[in-house]
Amino acid sequence: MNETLVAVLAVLVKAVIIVGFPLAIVPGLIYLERKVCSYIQGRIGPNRVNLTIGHIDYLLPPSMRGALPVGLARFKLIPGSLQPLADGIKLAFKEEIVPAQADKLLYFMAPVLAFVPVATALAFIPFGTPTWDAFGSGHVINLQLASANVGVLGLFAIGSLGVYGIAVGGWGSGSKFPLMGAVRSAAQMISYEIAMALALLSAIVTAGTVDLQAFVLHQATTWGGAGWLMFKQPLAALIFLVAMFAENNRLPFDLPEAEPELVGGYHTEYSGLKFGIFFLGEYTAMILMSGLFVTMFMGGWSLPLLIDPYATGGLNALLSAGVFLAKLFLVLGFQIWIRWTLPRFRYDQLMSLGWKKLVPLALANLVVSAIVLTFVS
Amino acid sequence: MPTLLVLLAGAVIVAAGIVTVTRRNPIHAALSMLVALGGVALLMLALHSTFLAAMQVLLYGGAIMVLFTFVIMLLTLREDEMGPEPPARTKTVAGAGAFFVLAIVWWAIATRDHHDFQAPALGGAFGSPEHFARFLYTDYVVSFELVTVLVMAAVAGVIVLGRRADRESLEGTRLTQAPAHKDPHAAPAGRDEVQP
Repeated sequence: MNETLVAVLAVLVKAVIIVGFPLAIVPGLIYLERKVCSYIQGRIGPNRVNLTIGHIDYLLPPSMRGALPVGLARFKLIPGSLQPLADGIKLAFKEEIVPAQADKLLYFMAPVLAFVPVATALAFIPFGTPTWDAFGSGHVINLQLASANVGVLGLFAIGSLGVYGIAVGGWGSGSKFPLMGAVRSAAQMISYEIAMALALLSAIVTAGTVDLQAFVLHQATTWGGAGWLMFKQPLAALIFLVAMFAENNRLPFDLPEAEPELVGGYHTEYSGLKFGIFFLGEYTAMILMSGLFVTMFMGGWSLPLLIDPYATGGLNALLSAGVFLAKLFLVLGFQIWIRWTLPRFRYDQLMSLGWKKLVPLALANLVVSAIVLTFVS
Repeated sequence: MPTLLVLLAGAVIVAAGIVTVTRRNPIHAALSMLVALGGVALLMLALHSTFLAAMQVLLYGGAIMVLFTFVIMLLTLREDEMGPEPPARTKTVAGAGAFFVLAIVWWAIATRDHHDFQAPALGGAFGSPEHFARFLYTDYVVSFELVTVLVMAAVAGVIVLGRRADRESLEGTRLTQAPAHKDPHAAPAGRDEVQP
C-alpha cells in the first residue's frame, strides 16, 4: 500500500471513531448519570429494562428456544442497562410539536447548531500516542484526527460556537422561558469562557506550546512522567474545572435550564428527536470539556511506568488509548458526582464568582507563572 | 485547489453579507453575519494563516457575535417595534452607494499590474502561532503596543459610560429630586398605590 492511501484511510478511520465515539458512549453516560444520581439519593434507579441472558433465546433457532434454565435466563446482566435505549425509542416516537410562534428556520436549525460544532471540536483531542507504527508496516500514525498547529486554540474556537445552538433554540422557540434560558446561557458562557481561557493560558505558558499532542508529551517527559499540569498549575486546573461546569451548563451552574424557575430552559418547546439531539449535544460537550481537561491537566494518554510516549508498538498505542478513556471516564464520573451533590447557585452568585473571583485569580496566576518561568528558565 | 477555496470563501462572504443587510429580523441578520465571518476564516485558511483563522472564529464567532445575539435577545424586538420599512428612495440611494464602492474596488483590482507578482514562499511554520508571535513581538511591536493602549482607553471609556450615575455628578438634575423626607422604615414604595 502506498503512503497516500494509508494516510487517507487512517484519517477516515479516525474520523469515524471521533464521530461515533460520542454517539456510542452517550447512552452509557446517561445510564451512569441516572444510576449515580439514584445511588446518591438513596434510590434504586432504572432497573426494569434489562438485558438478560434469556434474550439470546431470540437469536437461537426455534428448535433450541426455551432450553435455558429459567433461573439463568432471567439473570440480569446489568440491571436497567437498556433504559437509555428505551428512552431513545420513546423520544423517537414522540409527537413533533412546532410552536405556532416559532421562527421555523431557527427552530429546526438549533439542535444541529448545538451538536455539530462540539462534535467537530472533538477532532483536536489526541486519544493516543503520536507514533503508532501501524501493524509494523512502517506507516506512522498519529492518534489524533486534526493535528493542526493551532491545537487548543482551534478546539476552543470551534467548540465556542456551541452556544449558538442554545441561543438560537431559545430565540427560535418564540416563547418566554426558553428565551430567558438562552439569555442566561449566553451570559454565563461568555463570562466563564474568559476565566477558562486565562487558566488555559497559564497552562500554555508552562508547557510552551498550543499543540495538544505536544502538551501530552511535555507532561509525559517532565518530572519523571508525572509532570501533569494539574500538579504544576494546580490553581489553573481548579479554575478550569470550575469553569468547565459552567460551560457545560451543569449543576451547580445549570441556571440556563433551571427547572423550578424556567420550566426547562432553552429546550422547553422541543420534543421528540430534536430534544434528543440537544441532549446529545450537551453530553458531547461534557465529553469534549472532560477530554480537554484530561489532555491539558491530567497528562492525556500518558501514564508513568506503563506507557512509553515515544514507542511505536501496537500494544503501547492501544494501552495509551485505554489510559485516555479511563481518565476521561474519571473526569466524567466526577462531573456526575458533583451534579448530584451540590445545589444550584443563585444567578448573582454565579456572575460574581465568575467575574470577581475566577477572572482575577486566573489573571494573577497567569502573571505569576509568566514571571516565575522567565526567571527560572 | 487553494484558488477554488478562495473563490468559495468569497462567494460565501458576499452571499452572507447580502443576506445580513437585507434581513429585517435582527437575529437572522446576526447569524448570517456569523456565516460571513466564518467565510473570512475560511479565506485565511486558504492563505495558510491557520492561527489567524482560529482567532477569527474564536473572537468574532465565539465572543463578539455571541454578544450581539445576546443584546438582540435582551431587547426582544418584535415585528411592530422595528420601525417602518425604509422608503424606496433611501433604498435606491443606499444600493447605488454600495454599487459605487464595488465599482471602485473592481476598478482598483482590474487596473492593477500583477504580471510581476510573486507569491511569497511559505515555510512549513508559516501562519503558526510561533511564526505569528515572532512578527508581532519584533517587527510590529510598536503598533501592537499602541493598539493595546487604544483598547485600554476603550475599556476605561466603557467603564466611565456604564457606571451607575452617582449623586455628585447629577446634582440639580431631575434624577436627584427624590422625595424630601423619606422614612427609611416605611414599606417599599409602590405596593400601596396599585391597590384599588
